[in-house]
Amino acid sequence: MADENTQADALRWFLTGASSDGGAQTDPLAALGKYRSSTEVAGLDYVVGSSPVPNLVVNYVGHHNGPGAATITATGADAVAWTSPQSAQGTPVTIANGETKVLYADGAPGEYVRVTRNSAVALAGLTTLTLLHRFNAAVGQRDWNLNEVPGGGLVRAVCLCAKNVSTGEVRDVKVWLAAIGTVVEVESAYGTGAVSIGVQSGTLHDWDDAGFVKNTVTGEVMMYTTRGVDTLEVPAAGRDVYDETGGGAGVGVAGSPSDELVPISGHRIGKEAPSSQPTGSFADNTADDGKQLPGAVSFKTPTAADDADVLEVGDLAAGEIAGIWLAKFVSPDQEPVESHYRYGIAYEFEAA
Amino acid sequence: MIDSAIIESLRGAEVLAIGLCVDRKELSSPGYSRVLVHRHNGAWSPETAVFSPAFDEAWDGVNGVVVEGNGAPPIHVPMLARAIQPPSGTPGKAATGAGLALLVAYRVTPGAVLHVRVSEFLERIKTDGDLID
Repeated sequence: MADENTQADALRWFLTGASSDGGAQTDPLAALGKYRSSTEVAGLDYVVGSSPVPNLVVNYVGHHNGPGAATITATGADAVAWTSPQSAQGTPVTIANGETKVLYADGAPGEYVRVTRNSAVALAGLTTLTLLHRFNAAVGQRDWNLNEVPGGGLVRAVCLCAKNVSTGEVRDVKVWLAAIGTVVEVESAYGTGAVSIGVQSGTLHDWDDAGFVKNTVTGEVMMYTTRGVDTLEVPAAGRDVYDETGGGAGVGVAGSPSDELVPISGHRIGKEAPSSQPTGSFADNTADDGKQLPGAVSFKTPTAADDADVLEVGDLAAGEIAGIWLAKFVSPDQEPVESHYRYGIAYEFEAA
Repeated sequence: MIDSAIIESLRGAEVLAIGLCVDRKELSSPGYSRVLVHRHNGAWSPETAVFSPAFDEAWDGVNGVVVEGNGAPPIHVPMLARAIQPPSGTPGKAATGAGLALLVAYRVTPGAVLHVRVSEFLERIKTDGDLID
């Protein structure tokens, strides 16, 4: 299937903050609940090279393509194919004048681009694109000011809306926090309170200088102040920052060799069903610019689809929606510039 | 075979549920199938179609079908619910016997029995995605 609104394109993400379902609201910082906005959560930024395929417009580039070089190749007068930065050219898709189609990279159902053809003139040539992560967008939000959150803490809780735009059912929707760097293992046991956690040398190269990490074995989320070549420094105040384990905030739970450490953004996430399907509303978190957690939502920090805390949205019938809340926390040791870091949520689902 | 006149008759009619029954051998090689149309009150219920739980696994990964016939445009029919064994002796079971059922919502002519060709199974694809910025 290459029609729009099918497979990977069956589930689309929108901002909230509108006054009615599908209403105008384009500001990611104002996605503070209430109704789904008509504004889709932006995909990857892209720069189109010179001499692209004429009359073929790129509408959306899915995040899962990842940053890098990609191409759209006209494989025939009425057919185009997508090559993502990570995967080879996918099956060519026939597209007629006026149609919008979704192109996939080879064997990669999450790496797609949505395009529209706006002329009957035969397609020809090659479109090169440079894909880039976007900053200050829906997940990472804006740069913060530590005067707002002295000592770190909650910056804002926003709500994104996942909508099944297909004509069939989307199944088993799950959402969790994406790993924003290489997943590593603990090398030697560490205790409670302030600790220095040793890992294999060189494996932290793509981790933020200061940030958040979850030990998936103990379930503890920690806030580290610095990272070296092979160590993470975690102060007592950075232990069990969300008070989710038996150890408690400031204490945490001892870790063991081979425990898995996942670098995550300072987010906790929660789900909310709308007041009614398919056009109902979510909690209104506009008070104090979203600097509180909506009371009806339970926030967690799952880091994998099989994490016991994963947000199980379940099945969405055609047109149905679900709210995913993102509560952004920051460390006092992080620089207040959002573009220095990556923020991410991951999801999976099944669709025809 | 379904013809365009019948397809047209499907449009705008009362909302019913269809039990699309496919023999097991036809599941692996889509072929001619029977669409049984049951009068319904607008929402699906077990009486509207028949199937066997033993075949349920066979539907894993299937999320709908495309039906076509007699040169008419293909109809994309998404699956709305998985098969559930109806109580013994229900009208649906008596009418159709054991078989696979794909439960769909569609506008059909009440009481009609249509013969269509299943031209494509719509495979459910598992997709990983992320939002990173």
